[in-house]
Amino acid sequence: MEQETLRLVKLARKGDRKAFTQLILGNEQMLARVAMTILKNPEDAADAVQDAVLDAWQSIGKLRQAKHFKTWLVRILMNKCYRIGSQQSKYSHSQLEEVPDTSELPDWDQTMDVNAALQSLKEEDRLILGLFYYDGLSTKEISKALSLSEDCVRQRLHRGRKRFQAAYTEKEELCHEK
Amino acid sequence: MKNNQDYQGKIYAYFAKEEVPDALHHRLEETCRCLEERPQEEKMPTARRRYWWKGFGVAFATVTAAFVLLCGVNAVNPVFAESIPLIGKAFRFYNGDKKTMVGTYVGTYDGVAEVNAQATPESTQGLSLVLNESYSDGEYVHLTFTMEGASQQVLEDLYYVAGKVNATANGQELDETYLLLYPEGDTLLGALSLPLKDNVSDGETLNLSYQVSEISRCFNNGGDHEELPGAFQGQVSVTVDTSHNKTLNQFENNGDIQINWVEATPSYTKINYTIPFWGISTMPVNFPQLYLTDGTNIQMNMELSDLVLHEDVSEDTETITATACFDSLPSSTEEVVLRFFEEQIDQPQPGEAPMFYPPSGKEYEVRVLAESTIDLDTGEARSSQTYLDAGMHYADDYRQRFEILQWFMYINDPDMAQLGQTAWKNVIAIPELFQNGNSLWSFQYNKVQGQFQLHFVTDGPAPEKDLSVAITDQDGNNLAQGSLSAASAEETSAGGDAYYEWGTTLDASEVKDLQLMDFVTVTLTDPDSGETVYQRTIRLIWRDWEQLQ
Repeated sequence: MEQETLRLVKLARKGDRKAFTQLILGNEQMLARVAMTILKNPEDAADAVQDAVLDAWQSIGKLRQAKHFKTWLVRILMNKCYRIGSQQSKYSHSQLEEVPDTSELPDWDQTMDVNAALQSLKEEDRLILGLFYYDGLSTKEISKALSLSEDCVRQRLHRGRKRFQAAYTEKEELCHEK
Repeated sequence: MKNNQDYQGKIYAYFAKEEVPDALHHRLEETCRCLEERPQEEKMPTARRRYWWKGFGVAFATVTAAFVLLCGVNAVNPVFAESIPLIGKAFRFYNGDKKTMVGTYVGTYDGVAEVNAQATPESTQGLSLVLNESYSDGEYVHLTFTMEGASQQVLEDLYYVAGKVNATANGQELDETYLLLYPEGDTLLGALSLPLKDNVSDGETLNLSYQVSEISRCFNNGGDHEELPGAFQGQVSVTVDTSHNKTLNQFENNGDIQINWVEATPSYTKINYTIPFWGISTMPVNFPQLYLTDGTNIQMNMELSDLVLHEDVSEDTETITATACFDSLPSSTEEVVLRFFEEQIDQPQPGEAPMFYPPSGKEYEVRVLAESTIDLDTGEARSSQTYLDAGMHYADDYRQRFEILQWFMYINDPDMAQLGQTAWKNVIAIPELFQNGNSLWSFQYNKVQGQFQLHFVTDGPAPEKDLSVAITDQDGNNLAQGSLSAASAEETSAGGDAYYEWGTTLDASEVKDLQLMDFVTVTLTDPDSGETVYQRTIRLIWRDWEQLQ
């Protein structure tokens, strides 16, 4: 975990609201990605994120190790999403822990781009890719945060990478043909 | 070919530009702006280091020699396992992160074939792959592999080597999967469990063809990966052995847990059971763990389990029936212990009480709700208390334990049952769901604060009159009373339809404490006429984990 984040977590643990706010806003995309993947609806996601942030602020003093901040925050948010999702019966945890998708890659046309390559992935795969590549969580941390086996996380990361690479390579070849 | 850093860069750039929905962004900013002062940091508890195998009361003499040699005993004691030479290979990856929860103990069964067939390499630049062992119980095919010839560059900082596996069994395509091979010195070992599409009969031959392609090495603790050249392909014939598969029905039971049937193969163990309805946390409380009689935990396989969801229960539910799937059992296992906990626990630590660390609040011990010892030979299941020997405790005050008790209008509420979905317009269209335009939406009792919070929804027009609210227990005793203020009504919408949400907070009267699963009745009356405008009896089946102070 970056030094700056560690510093902010330690300050937040002592009650520094500004530090906590910086931490939260600095992880806004991660929070949004997790909540939207589960709840799909921006209003519900906003509710879950709000509840999670309030809970996190109250309990950050009890966070044992600052380096686990992101994992801990995602866990809180997941619980909030479960609660809101269960009230509306919109979410089941089994959506994350599922049999790997073996469907073929779709046919790409020349208008597809990087965004489309990633958009074509299942939302849950995209979530895991984002947590790993952008938010910097390890596979172990992702497995703890999302309550998945580490094996499942690795397989899905691997699959997501492969599908993205295949789609991106094909797009580039199509562009060269043009 | 693009290198992996380019791909990673592209992936990173995509997520960097990912937009946050406005609603969420504004809410987050607002929430941060309104954070209240927080007390000083509490003294951090000393982290406990757990050497779980030291607390583990296994007598090694109870483990059969065959089991030790074939299985490697990681499941029992990883430290011990590391010190013994292995005859077989790779059916031993048990330590959580190296094995899916299927077929861990295959190596303890007769019939594991030593194959040792070299896969045909294709431009692998010195890498070789050997299929070491195979076994099939007609449900899965289990294979172990060894990879050798990896250069120092490949081995450096290696986390694992992965390859995509495509396989057919008797010409039928199996699900694509990935083989992960982990370093053991200069050799890499991996195990694969392939589910068969259809069950295959005893004695039949499975002609398996497989390809391992798109090989890559993952290093730097999983943070980086790079392609490795080449691919492999191979074939193997596996004779199906279902002699160890068993199904047990018609159990004789006593106690809270009723075992309905057990299906055990060298691949997995499925147990169908009926338990009391213990309320709902994030899901209906149904947290089983399976143990051998020596205390070894058999990992649960969520993917193959059929657990109960919220929509499967109602306030009237008294029992729930579900199927939990676990990893396989060692050969010749006679008895197993099925134990139900108050909460989901990750890795139960032998010899210690499991702990739960909620996002809010301090840690606390997770206790046992019920336990059954299942005899797989006689088909008997008896209530037991072996958890006491394992340092655990019975949850004798389970129903009184929770600070927050709740009720929500939920999907299988009889009034909601007609809905195919929870779009609001469908809700308000249900006849009799609303009484005089009003419906209770949520109810919460906070024991520590001694307060009730109630939310109602009203199908327009906007409420104009305050209503009296009364809450009574199942004996008719008054729990709280007060007013539902029309001024608190806020117009909101869902699914494009407008409605009004209003609520009230009431202080609890000094009555006996409410418990999880208790019934309460909520009544709205017109304060002028005394007429009952709304009345509903609900059951407090939702609980929240906050320790009583």
